[in-house]
Amino acid sequence: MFRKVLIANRGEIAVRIAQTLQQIGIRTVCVYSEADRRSLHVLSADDAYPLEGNTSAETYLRGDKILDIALRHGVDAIHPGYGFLSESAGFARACQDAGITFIGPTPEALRAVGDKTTAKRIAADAGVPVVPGWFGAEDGEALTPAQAAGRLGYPVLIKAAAGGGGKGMRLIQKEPELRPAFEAAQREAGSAFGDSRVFLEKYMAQPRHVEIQIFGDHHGNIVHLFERECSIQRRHQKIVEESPSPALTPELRRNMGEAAIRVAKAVGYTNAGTVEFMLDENGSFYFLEVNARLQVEHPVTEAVTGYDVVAAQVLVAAGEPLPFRQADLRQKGHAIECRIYAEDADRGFVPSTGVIEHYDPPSGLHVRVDSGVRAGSDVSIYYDPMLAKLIVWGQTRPQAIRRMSWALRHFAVLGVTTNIEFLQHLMEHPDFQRGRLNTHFLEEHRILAKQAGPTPPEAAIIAALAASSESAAHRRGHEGGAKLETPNPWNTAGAWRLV
Amino acid sequence: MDTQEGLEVELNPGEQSLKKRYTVRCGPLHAEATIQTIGRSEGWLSLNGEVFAFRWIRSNDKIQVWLSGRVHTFELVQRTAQRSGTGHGPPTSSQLTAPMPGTILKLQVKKGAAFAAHQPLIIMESMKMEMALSIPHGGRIGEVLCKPGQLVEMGAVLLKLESDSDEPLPA
Repeated sequence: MFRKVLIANRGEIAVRIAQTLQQIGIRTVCVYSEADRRSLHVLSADDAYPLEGNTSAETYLRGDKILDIALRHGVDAIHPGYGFLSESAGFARACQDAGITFIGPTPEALRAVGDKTTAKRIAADAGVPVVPGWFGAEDGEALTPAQAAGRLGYPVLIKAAAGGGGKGMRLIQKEPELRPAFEAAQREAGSAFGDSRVFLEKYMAQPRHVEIQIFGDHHGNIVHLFERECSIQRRHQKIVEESPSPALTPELRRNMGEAAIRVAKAVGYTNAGTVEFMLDENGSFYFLEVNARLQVEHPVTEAVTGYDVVAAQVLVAAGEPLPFRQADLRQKGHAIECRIYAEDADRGFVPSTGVIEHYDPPSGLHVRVDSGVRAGSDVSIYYDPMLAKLIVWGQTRPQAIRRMSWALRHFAVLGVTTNIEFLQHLMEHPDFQRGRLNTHFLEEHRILAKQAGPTPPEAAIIAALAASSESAAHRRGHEGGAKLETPNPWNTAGAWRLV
Repeated sequence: MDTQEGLEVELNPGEQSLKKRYTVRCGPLHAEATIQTIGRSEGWLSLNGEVFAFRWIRSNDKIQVWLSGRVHTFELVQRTAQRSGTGHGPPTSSQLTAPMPGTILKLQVKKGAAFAAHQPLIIMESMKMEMALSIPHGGRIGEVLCKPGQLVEMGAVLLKLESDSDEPLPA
């Protein structure tokens, strides 16, 4: 078993990985950018080493700097988390060459499924239906993007070949939109993944995003740990995930699980991964892509199966067989995860930056919070705005929703704006409660960012207390008081300021 | 969002112990309240038999209160009155400022160009996402004060508009 593992990541996932490693008895090493030097993940690890710079390109994407630190400090293995270098075949190979275990798939598997166009070909060859797409010159015929889009039929989706998370992604309804969106997507992909290749995909109406967690070891075992539904998305960034999916019958679950395993076997997949599918309203599923890494939403799988996915990753990477066989695995109850973002949902989800002054997450039975920040943390522009993940489990889906609503109402964050109230309203929406989900849910339903109506007097009383506790002025017998105003929305409308 | 006129709140101290008692007047409400604080800016408010956990922060003239799962933002009237010189109704702007820190990617207009309401004027990038900045009314660009590749702070002035002229502007 490894003695020392370096976590090549930041934020909540670095904290979460460190926890499991420490529970196994492994010494943890982390790296940090200048902006992150006082962040929570630095405090959570046993050893911490600096990476000069602030942007991802200068720091967490610098496999060379990270490997250098690993070699200098006797690290046995590196866990790449998600995003950053987690799907870089080049980094996995460099670790291998340096004699350090990469806790994830092999470079070969990463190469095979990392390119989304190759992955689709592999899936099709494995007898799995795929979403129709156009992958550029590789498709044989020399079509322009406009010609290809015309053939697929609008609407079409532009997606980055080298990564996900909504970056480099655009939805095109009509031809005139195609060219500028294509260029913007290429720029975004280049900046996020260092690879600006994009491809086109037919856009399906009313689809549900359902993915299967897969796991392989180096002894030839491959299993699936059932599904997660991730249909609640904004601009292709997931916001809410759950397991089981309200849309799956036992038969569909079995078929999708088997299809996912066929894809995994075709590339000799090892360690954790996710096979993403689109499910249409007729219950037909289509392969989308393989995410060859640990995923953000893995906690819902942990909640319903009872297994620590990161611990399994470490065991497999150390050469042990998988700690579970397919026959051992069951889904129990229902789990939901909400991603807490530093975003102003009232103003188009514009990212919110600043110092967090109050940070009090909820806790209790079947309530889990994976935080990347704490009180005093500086939320900067350099990285993703996700602050934490809130995961609840219930015996049934309605119970899980009630528990999530409670948890969101008891999650106090001040200093940056968050999407917590938006999530509260989402949990209350009848279509969400009925499980009537699809990837356009947020466009089709107007979920309020803030509750409408007058300011409750109890809030105004506390504001007056706050105002008077800071002022030196005392008037006659009054302890304090203030004239307060809720801000006029015309003062800050949209992405510009009144001066 | 509800736009209210100012709320007058009076807190009159009563008997003092660990829990501070007050008589409160706020709008039509006139009640007894008990506030117990832990630290400087968090605690519990007991009002009319209900208990509310609260947290607050203050920055300059803005106070934010978290209570019952919601965040409420307040501005102190005296400062607001100093700042705003405009009347009511949809305002027009004289400049475009950066809504958050980030990098300027592309300028879609130049000095002297006329633009329409909601037309993308500047593309900027923040937190790895691109966004287009626009203005809810039309006008003409007076001065461009930024360039592609430039890192800007929140509130940085990016464009100045030409002041009202006799020329008809696009809608």
